[in-house]
Amino acid sequence: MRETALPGLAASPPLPAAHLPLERAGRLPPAAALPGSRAPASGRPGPPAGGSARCPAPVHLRSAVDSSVRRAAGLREVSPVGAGEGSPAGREGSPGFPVAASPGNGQDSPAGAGIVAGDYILYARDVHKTFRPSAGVAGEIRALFRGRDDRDGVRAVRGIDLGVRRGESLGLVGESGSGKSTLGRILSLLYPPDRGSVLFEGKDAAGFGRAERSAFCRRVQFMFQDPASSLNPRLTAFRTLSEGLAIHRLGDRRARKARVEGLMEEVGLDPSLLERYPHQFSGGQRQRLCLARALSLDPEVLIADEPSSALDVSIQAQIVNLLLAAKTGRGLTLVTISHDLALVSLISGRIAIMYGGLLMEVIPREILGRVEHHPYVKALWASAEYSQDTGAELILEGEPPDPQNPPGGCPFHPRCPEAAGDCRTEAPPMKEGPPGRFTACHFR
Amino acid sequence: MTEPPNAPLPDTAPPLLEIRDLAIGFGDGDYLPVKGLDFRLAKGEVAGLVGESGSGKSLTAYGIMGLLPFGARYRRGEILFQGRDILKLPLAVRRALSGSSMGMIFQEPLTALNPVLTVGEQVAEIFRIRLGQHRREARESACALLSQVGLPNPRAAYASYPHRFSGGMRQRVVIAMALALDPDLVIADEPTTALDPTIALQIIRLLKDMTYQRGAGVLFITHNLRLLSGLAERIFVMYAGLILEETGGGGMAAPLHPYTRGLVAAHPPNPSENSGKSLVPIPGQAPGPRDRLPGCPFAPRCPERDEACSRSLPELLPAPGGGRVRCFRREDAGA
Repeated sequence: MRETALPGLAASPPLPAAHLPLERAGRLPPAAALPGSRAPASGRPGPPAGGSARCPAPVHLRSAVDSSVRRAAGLREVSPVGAGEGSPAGREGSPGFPVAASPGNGQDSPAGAGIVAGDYILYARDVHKTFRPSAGVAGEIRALFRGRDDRDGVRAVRGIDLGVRRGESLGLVGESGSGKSTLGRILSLLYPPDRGSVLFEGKDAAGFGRAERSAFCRRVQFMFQDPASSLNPRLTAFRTLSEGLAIHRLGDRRARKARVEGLMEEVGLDPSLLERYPHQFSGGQRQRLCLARALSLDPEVLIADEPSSALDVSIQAQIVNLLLAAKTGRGLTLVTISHDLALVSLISGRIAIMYGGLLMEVIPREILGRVEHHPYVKALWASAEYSQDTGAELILEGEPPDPQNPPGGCPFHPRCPEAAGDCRTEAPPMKEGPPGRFTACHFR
Repeated sequence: MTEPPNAPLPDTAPPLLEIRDLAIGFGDGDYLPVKGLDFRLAKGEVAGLVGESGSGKSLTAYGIMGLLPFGARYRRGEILFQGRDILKLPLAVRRALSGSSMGMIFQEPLTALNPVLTVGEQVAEIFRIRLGQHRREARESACALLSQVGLPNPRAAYASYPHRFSGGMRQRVVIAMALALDPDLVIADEPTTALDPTIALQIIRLLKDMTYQRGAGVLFITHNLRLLSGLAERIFVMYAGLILEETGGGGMAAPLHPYTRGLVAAHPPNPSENSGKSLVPIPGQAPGPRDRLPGCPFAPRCPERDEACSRSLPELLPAPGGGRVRCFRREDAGA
């Protein structure tokens, strides 16, 4: 069946194995073309036949993921009502968003000068996110009467400016509780930010209508951290991989089948496994399935949250190489979220390091380790450089900040060996050090 | 700590721990996660046991401690602790050994601690039950120990419940409990896997210091080869219930077994030297505990296999460089 399906499709639109032409809709990145597979697409730049702009998927996906995550954490997401107390003092007034604004060529967009749509495909502008514990019905009512919600919350992201350039590979590194996953989810619109905005190709995502939102969901995909819990145990591999196509009404049944089989081959799984359920796959195979699902809509941006941390080392390398192959083969923009600096520095061209809900440093890969780093980055670097003689002086004392009650000033100051008076009271703004490198430290 | 890392163990004094052909299985069937282990640990030595999930490394640890999960049984072999086969000891004697002579640090500190007792009660309990100390005395001992493992305010910590602690602090408590009675052998089962990198370094330093002061031997179980290179004097590489390679210190500068070489290549290299490099994965998957391969368990994934490899299992034999390796091609590898 599989062998005969491809040639037999003459009646339906021409179908390459792994790439349906239909959703490309006139935005073919030339570099992304796989030999042969794109050929039919270039002939028909018009809008996709079946690609109507309904978007039940993102909404459904969002609420499902959102609420399950929040339930698991005992947290409730709040609307921007109580977001007033967002950023620490120093950031509040920091001039716009120099962070990562410069591609290193000098002609960047400083303070509020607007962002060139083509420059950044995704841009988080001063985003904040606080999760609050659910106080039950009584708490809800009280908050309603007061007109604000002043309960303590987990301040996961406390004011971050970060752009993702088209086609780049950006690494987002931080320890648990640093807010890196939250930032990733904000960037993919899985969480609305309490404050600040996410710009997609220069347009504020908050103003997206249904059609725009649907298009966003197709073009920006998120790969969840734990492959075991992010696959629906009741769906076969085939349904998992074809769900997105069905929701976005791409292709007919046979086209979807061909596409799904192509995806399976792309991620190194045998298409004969398509009728299996997630529990019948090993951990590495599940992660491959998650990657295939994320690629099923042929996205432009892939945000991968800890893509390999649940896996064994030998399998981790398989997944990482698949991600890289997908990135180069499809011209993806890749955002990798991880706690592992060694891994991220291997696969990313630019690395953003977070601590306590704030960015500490954004640095191009080429100069990582060659500049005077932020003290936290130094320590992180030392922990990634396992060796016989890891300097004892680089082992940090203390613990990461409590996100419910982050320290004032620089979030790193309680552990910082260089902390001085200013650090305790004033959060340092991001400054550009060597070109392309931005760091938030009073002494850099 | 007394010998140069690459020297073979002297055969005179009995080693702290010697395991001979140990096999652990579930039931009587062919479900055999630990298929035949041989290794020794000298007094005061820090050794690492490396393996991926399913290789049987944790079950080995539980086997040494006598904490096998329900249904698991020793099927074969001996565990000699200070020269005595502890599998032949009466249960009461064996139980007296664990804790006082062997301590274990568990992987997940939150599940290793009892959530309904305060941290201090759990530590003091050891002193009350094992040393017969009175309540007040035990409390003092516990506080002293908690401050030794670096809890900033031991008296406040004593009265706190485990959920109030961060992961790193919990792991400090678990280390305190494992070392409370000055054991000669400490088995650390993935003690840093659940922790963030900067905290993991703190914990490793603490573990190193505490065991060095006490002269305890350490069996450090992990899946992270790079972690061991700066820590262990001897490394055992485990795969599918067998040891494939044993190396002296210096970690993994020149691994001999193709699996070990694959594992090294699959680890992300240090960021200072990784530009332009890529990870080299090991193709395929590890065999499961039920798989009965007549030959080398790694043969199906091995880039250097030949026909002999899938016919019979190579023995774990001394290799050039002072280690041992289970591979038919060890001569070629060493040359």
